Amino acid sequence: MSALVTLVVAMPFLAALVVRQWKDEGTALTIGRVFALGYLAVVSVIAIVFLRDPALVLRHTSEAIPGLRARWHLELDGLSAPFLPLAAGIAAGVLLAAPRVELGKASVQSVLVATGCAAGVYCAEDLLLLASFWIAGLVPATVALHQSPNATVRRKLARMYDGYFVLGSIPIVLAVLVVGVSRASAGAALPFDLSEPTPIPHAYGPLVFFLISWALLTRKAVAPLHSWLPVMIERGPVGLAVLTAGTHLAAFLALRVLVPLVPEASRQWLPVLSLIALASAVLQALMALGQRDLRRAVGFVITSQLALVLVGLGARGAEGLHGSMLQMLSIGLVSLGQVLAVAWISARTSTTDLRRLGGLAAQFPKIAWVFFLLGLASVGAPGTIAWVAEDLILHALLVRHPFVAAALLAVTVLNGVTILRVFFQAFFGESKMAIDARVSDLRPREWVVGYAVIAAIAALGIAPQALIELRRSTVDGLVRALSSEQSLHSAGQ
Amino acid sequence: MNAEQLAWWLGGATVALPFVAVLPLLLLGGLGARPSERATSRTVLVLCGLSSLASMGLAALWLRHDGPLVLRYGSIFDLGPRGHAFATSGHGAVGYRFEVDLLVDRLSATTSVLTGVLSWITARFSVRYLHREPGFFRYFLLLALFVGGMQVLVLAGSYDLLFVGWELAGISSMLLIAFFHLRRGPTRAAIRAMLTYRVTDVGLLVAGVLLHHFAGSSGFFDAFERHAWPDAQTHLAPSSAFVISAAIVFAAIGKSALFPLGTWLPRAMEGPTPSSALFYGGLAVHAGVYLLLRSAPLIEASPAASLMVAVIGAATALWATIAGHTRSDVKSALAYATVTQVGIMVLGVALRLYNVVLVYMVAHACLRTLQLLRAPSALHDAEAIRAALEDSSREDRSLLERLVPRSIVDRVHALALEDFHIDAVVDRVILRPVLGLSSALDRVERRWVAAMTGVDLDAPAATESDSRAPGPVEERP
Repeated sequence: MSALVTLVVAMPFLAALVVRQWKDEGTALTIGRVFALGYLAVVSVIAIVFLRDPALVLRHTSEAIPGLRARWHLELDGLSAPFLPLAAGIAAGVLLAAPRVELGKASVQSVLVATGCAAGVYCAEDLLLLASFWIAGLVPATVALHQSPNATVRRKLARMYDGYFVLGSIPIVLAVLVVGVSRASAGAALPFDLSEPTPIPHAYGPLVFFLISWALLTRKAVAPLHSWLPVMIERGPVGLAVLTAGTHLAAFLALRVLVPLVPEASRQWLPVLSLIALASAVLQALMALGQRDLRRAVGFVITSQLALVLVGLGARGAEGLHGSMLQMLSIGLVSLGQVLAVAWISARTSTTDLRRLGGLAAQFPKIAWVFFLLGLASVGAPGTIAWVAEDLILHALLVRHPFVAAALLAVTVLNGVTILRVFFQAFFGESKMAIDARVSDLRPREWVVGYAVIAAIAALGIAPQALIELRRSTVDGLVRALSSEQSLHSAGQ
Repeated sequence: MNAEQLAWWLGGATVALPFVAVLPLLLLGGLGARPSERATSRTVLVLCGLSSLASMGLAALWLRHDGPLVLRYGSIFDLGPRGHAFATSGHGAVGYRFEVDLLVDRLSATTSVLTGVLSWITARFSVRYLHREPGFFRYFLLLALFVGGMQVLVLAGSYDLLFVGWELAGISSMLLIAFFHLRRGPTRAAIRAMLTYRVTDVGLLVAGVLLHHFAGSSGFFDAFERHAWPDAQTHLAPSSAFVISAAIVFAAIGKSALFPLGTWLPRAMEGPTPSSALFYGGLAVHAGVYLLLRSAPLIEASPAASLMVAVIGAATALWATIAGHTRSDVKSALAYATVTQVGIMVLGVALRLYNVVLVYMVAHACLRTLQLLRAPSALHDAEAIRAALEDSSREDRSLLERLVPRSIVDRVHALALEDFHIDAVVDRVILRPVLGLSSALDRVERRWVAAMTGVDLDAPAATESDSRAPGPVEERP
């Protein structure tokens, strides 16, 4: 049973190897799709098992590597279990519904590898292992950008992505080294293991906090380290853009590693991190507001909302933490749907320039429905998971931090206005271009993915209690770690 | 089944049945399927009709009941005492949970019946009015969503739940303004309404959270000392009551088109006449008044809040009546007349004339809905009246115009034609600076990206996929 965790992490990599064996791109895509759906089914069943028994923990360990004292240690618990279906769902959604031109064999492989890396980060309980998956997860995107055939823009953008890749990877490597060395010197048997009871010496706490924060701010695209993500969503590969934005590895790192490992530094500095994230969210919401390109507007809105997750974490209360975790699921699902919807429009009209778009609802009513419903989900309309998440975060912030709450509300209003404005501009009003009548509305598989995303958002919005129960013990542990003097270096235990 | 159980079922039916109509229509709409006009309209008419009957039954039960009825349907989420113990400190509040409670009292029972009856009549009227209209299906879908949203709004037992109905009514309203979506005018009007709603709805959200904090609950029954409306009261400090009231008034300004954000309402008349009648004559425009009536204990607890409400009400009535005099099309004139009356109702709330305002609201909603439904026949009606009076040359001057010098009246009317430049001021003070800041930030961002990559993001966003696309479009000349 314990080997199941390793299997869950290894499956996407194995699938990528299988896909690699086929020369025919069509067959490779079909295999990728079948695998992605199967993987989604498997991890969904696992998540349901966890919903029924929130105290369950699945663990797989090996002997420590002599000298290094690191080991293969994977763990599935109430915190990580709901993220696996999210990553698997994003992969399946992309492989099923992204425009065909985005689904070459190399793209399928990179989506599968990125999914496997995300699963690795979710399950890793050894810091060295976690950092390896974290860095490896950035590789597929950089390879995809560098190897984009006939796409000079993407190859140029690869330079910027590489820069941020390095900027976000070096700190986490340094953090792992500092944690390992400091805990080893304090007598820890397994210095990299997150379940190791030996705390990090007090003096190293702020340094570790700073290094991990730097890595997660870069990965979360928080200003001024943000430029790569909106551009990635605007011009990059659809699948990797959504996987990068929607899997929330950075916020997960904060929950799994940052707070449990350095609770005192987190108590002191997490609010500062949240304020930086809030300023970034405001900035990006403002940038989104005036955009004239649909894809770019969506990119900035998603980036802005990603930063809000950190704001909820900084509230340090159960409401804020529950709200942030729900917000992560919401953004993951909405990002998938919105980026796909924009790609559908782009594939059908050859543009996402709002000055050229207009009146699309007449020819593409199904896309209009999907885009509008996703827009409602993204602006926190009642009945969606974003509504529950925003309500909880607002409850956590409004009374104790009214100015932070006011800024948060401003961000949600600005993002809501942006999404609804671009919807009206693209789908309503006079048509500015003549589109060939043979260009069809949504194909069945696109429709199925679009509505599956909407159904998931609505189902979780109407009945979020099971998710709240699943994470209750983790959240209580985190809140305890952030609110007491007692050092609880493993809040999830 | 005892009376309370029956009330529980009737309350649930009143709220749920319109959504039962929405769900299959939404699914079919998403599939691209379009059921026949008869199937669409019958689905909505039957379910909204049953909802309306349930609301009447509920009102009858309330009349026989001693005091308000609180119907509890569980909670959407519940952090419980475990989570809450760490979440807040020292405010004495119980754990945060989102409860689905309906409150049936004089205010909600009356408004719920009004909602059910007016909606059903308008829906029935719309069947013929919109016959063979391409958006027939969409219209009825949005109408059912609106009815469901309004029933949630008026029967909600807490600000949290009221916000749900408030948002649903706003969404359906916005989409019906843009009903003729291929024309530029309705789309622009919908964007304006959306902007106003989106900004002002925040007030209601904030009010719910603040009331929860100060009073320990955002439920009306618990927060207002368990007294029946309109005798409900609160023991909050005037300062706390003022802050919450200000947030509530901000929300009401948006939804009821009060001064100074009311200019979206006349533009909203771009939608189909029946929806204009129901939304901006009958129900949605009175949602703000309903909210103020529901929040009366809070407004009452703060003299400053009462003064604020009075000033806004009076300013709205004055602005709208003058502006209404300069409008030549019947729907716009009726829109301003509606806003005028709504302003007077708001003034009534500030003067604590709650029962009077409730009666006034019901009567006005009925009259205005009828007037707006008759609006397409207005010219015919006017001709008939003049013919009957045999007086086609009568000069129709108001008392004000007779008392005030002509030059001043002309100047005021010139200003009124421009809505006293309210939109221009809002654009200049808020919209343009924000958009200017947005553009400036975006320019910096593009330059930064260009410096790092050499990519000009201003160039057309042709992606790899675009370059391989078959080119299905051509620019219109």
